[in-house]
Amino acid sequence: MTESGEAVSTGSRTLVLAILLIGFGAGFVKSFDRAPAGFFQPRSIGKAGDVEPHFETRFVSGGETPQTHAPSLVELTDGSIRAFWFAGSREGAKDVEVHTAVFVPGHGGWHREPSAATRGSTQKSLRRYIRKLGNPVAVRAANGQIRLFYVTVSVGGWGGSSVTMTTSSDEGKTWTPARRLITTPFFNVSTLVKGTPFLYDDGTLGVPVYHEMIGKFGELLRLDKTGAVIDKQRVSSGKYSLQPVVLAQSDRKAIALMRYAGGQPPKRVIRVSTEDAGRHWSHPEKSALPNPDAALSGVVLADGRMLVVLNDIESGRDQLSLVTSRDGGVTWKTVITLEDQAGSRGQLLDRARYLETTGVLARDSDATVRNPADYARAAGVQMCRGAGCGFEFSYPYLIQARNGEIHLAYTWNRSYIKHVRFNQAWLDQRLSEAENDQRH
Amino acid sequence: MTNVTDITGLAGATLAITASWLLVPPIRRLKRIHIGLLMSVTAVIVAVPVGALPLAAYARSGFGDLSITTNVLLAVAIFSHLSGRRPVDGKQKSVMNILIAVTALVFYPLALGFGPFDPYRLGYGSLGFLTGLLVLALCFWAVRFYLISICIGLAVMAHAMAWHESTNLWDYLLDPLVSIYALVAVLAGGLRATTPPSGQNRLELPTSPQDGVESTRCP
Repeated sequence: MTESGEAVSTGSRTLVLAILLIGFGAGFVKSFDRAPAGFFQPRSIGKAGDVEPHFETRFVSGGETPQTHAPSLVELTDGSIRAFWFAGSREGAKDVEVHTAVFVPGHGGWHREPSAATRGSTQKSLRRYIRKLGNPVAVRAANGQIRLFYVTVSVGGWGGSSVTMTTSSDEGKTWTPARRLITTPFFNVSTLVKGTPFLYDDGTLGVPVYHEMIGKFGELLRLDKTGAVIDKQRVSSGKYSLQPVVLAQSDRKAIALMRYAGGQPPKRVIRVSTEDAGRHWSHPEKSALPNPDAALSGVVLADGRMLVVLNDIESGRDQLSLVTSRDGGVTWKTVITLEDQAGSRGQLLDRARYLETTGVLARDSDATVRNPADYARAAGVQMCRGAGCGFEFSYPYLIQARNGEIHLAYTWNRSYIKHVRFNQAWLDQRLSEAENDQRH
Repeated sequence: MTNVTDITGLAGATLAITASWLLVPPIRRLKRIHIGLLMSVTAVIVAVPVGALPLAAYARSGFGDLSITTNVLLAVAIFSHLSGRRPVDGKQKSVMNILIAVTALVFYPLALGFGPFDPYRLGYGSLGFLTGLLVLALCFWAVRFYLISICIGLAVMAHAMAWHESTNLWDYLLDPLVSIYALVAVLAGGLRATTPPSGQNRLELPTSPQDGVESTRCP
């Protein structure tokens, strides 16, 4: 080698070493700055001031679009409740938007507001082609902002999903440009949201997500205060569990319940548990709760009782129940069957009978409904096929407000979102009645 | 307002589309000046918005942000073709392809759910992972495989600077496109190595030491 060649070689060698030192220096600094794992922050909401039991239902959406699905709820600072759901001409259509509405307790029904996210607004923010939108979930972050996570797909079906996030500082009236969360290394596909996000004690956010390409399993994202993903943990593995819901009993102890997506009977909700704030999760096992491959939702009350809403059957989604557990999710008791079309299970109704039944259900669901036949017709468009018509009450989302009230929203026949509101006095009364019934 | 990560992501997509001309044999046979011109025009076309989004954004929608490794390799490929110089020797390229291919074959199945262990999680600030990468990069630096060291070093640096949307180091080191390229290159290299030139017996030994050296040189 010539002298100049040696000089070039030495220069290159030094330059590469400098790149390594600078790069890894910055990398180690960033790594040391990473927030340590947080602990769960169980909510300590007491009973509401009013002791009179109350239980009421109403519709959130007003039939603006042919199809609605996958609601979620978040409490606003003034005690009102904001709902989000996706709606459009059909699931996966280009006109699907993330709709939102607000419910002010004691002031009538729900009031629709402009959509929180559309395909166009998301595409513009992300500077990417967006083919369709899906499940939205919302949560209040430690800094008081509302974060809305929703599913977006650029290519392919739901297996090609990724999670997009937008933030509101004015209780959901306006939203920041959307950000895409990068959660998988393979074209960032196959991460979806459904379960209720929650806060860790250090202000970081836990977002239950799931993966459904090749495998089907639950995961938990941890986001820092800016909304950046700082960790992702697998809650289950294999090909049979989706849509985890984390129910924290203490700062270290929690269970996660998951939709059973396997075919092996008995079809049961999948359960995992942790004793160390999620550093380690137990091996997934089938719980006592039946599950027909459908989403569920839950909350933990201050006294440790767990409340879960789910389709507590092994096939179909025509029955939806509220169940409770006092022993950390080992045994469950039905509080109320919220929707029950068990009589028609396994057989489709003819259209005339379906419309009649659904009209009655609509009127029973919301006393302000003046045109139940319209509700029935809208449901029929979604739920009637060549062979007949069926029922679907699915995708529940349960939250507890600061005043102790519990709010539930769910998809009603794929055409409306239904809201159920009750207090703990009603819950206690209901459980007491159930126990008396059992004694007799 | 456009985010920095959008600019870097779109720049990567533009680079990939531009460099893809080099995969077309008739284009490779053009004069350097013509290749340069074609690439420049392509870069402008894909970077300029057509309707709501530039064409590069549609490509980015499909394959996401390209890793730093891919960006470096594309830049080296373009530089090599336009300058006529070969900054990286064939042996180093082969080792790099094998490294990427083997890593991808192990990494992607596990990260997509084949088994309970998720190696992708290591990319969220694992000190052990970072230390392992440093050792690996220094080893390649010691044996003068600078391209590999540079790719690792720049990836770690870009991750620390939040160059892309992703907060996971793996997305700076590896992506499916470079993995597919490396797998194809390794397979093609393996096939070439096991297939005798036409008219020769597979078991024929080199007639001189010089022949043996020639047979292992990368094209």
